[in-house]
Amino acid sequence: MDNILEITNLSKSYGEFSLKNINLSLKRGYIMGFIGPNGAGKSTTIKLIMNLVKKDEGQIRIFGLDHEKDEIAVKEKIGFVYDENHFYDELTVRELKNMIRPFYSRWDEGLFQKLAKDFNLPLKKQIKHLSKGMKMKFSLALALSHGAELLIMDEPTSGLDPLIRNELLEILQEVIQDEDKSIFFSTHITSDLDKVADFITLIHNGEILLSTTKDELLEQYCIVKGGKETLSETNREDLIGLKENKYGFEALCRNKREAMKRFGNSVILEKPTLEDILLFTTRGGRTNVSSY
Amino acid sequence: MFHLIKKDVLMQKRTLLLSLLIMVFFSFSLSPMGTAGLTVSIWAICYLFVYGAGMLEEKTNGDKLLVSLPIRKNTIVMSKYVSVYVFAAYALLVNFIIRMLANLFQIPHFSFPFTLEAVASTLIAVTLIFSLSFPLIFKVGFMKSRLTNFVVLFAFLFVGHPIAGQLSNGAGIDFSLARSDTGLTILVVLALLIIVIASFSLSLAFYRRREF
Repeated sequence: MDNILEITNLSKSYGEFSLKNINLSLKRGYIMGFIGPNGAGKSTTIKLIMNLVKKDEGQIRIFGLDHEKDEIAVKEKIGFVYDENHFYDELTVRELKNMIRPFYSRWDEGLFQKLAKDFNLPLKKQIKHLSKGMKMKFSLALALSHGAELLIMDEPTSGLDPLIRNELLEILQEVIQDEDKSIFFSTHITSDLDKVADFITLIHNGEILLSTTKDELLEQYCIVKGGKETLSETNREDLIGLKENKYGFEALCRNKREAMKRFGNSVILEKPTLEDILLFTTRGGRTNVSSY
Repeated sequence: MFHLIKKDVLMQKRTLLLSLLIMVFFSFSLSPMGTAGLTVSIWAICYLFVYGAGMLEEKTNGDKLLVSLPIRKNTIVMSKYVSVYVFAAYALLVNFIIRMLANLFQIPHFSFPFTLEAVASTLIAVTLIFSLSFPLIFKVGFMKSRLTNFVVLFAFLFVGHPIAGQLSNGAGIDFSLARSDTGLTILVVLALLIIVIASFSLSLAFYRRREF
């Protein structure tokens, strides 16, 4: 299977913050959830992919093309949805669509009209009078109407009510039915990814802590809870984000089988959620995590 | 590029009425200044629309949208330069209509002289002012460049214009385009072209390096 997005040794420094040696790849037909706490480097990575900021080092290849040298060809096939509204408030939905449309050679007006109808987009309304959910749906309609093969979404669900969020996730699942398309979806609302993501990449302090399939992550990782007496110097090393109090400890363990072998019946092993993995991993440094 | 300029116009539908009022007001108040009054009026309208569009874009970080679309950066920069002449043409047309109406109803001191010389010197002035302003705009944005560009404008109007007048009268150089001095016209056009190309190249270099 070919990679639709491939990032190799990507670095970018901004004063005190830096993105260090980012490596990740996304295959056609899959959704990758890009998670991490605020300020971890999610938006910077997306800006680098979209060539909105200049990289210091590394390579970004999209559809096998260099994202800078072949910028126009790449952007013809990318759909984007950003966390904030960057549309011109004074224009109506129709006016903005008419402004954007000529720049895409594969624009499908019929599809846009269908999506506008399905999403109940008020074409004559000014952008400034649209709700956040409507603006997001409009972004999505624009992204889908030019036959984008890769959807780049930067926190698309933040600030949306659960109903609209769910609607968006259902749309994304429909989009992905076409196995030629992929979605790169950054969020800190990990429950969204429980529903739709195939791959999870976790970034923290500008570094990729893990990048693997969601199923592998949820199957292999476990939360270990137990009394303090079960902790030793040796088994501490296997624990991620270890949290101790006077009654006991809890931590994340990368390998459930290894944890069962090491701790036996003296601890409780629980299946983690993506949120647990995010919390323990970003709390506990970056040791003992897998890299995809 | 047409669609980018059209967007700048559509965003400012309400400004159209304001621009008409400004031009009527300037026709009345600045008519004693003659050609210089026409230049100020045209520049003011270009400023109103070019900066108006820029401010509205910056309000929502519209550049992030444009740069994410499959549009070459030189098209984005070029559209701003071309838009100046679109707005100047609109302002010239309205001023011409005001002149016609003033003549029709025989209202004295209510319009600017409308000669080829007046129009040409107005376009030269507008070209120079925006050629000086745009590189800074593309480097730091409309908001941050506003004050500096205002200084540039006033320096141009209150220092540049009298110097040009002095040179024209005293130094034996005739800037008049009304005389069919083809050599001088070609010289002026070439000089302007070089200034515009240099300004555009600088603006494009700044815009390419800008991060969004």
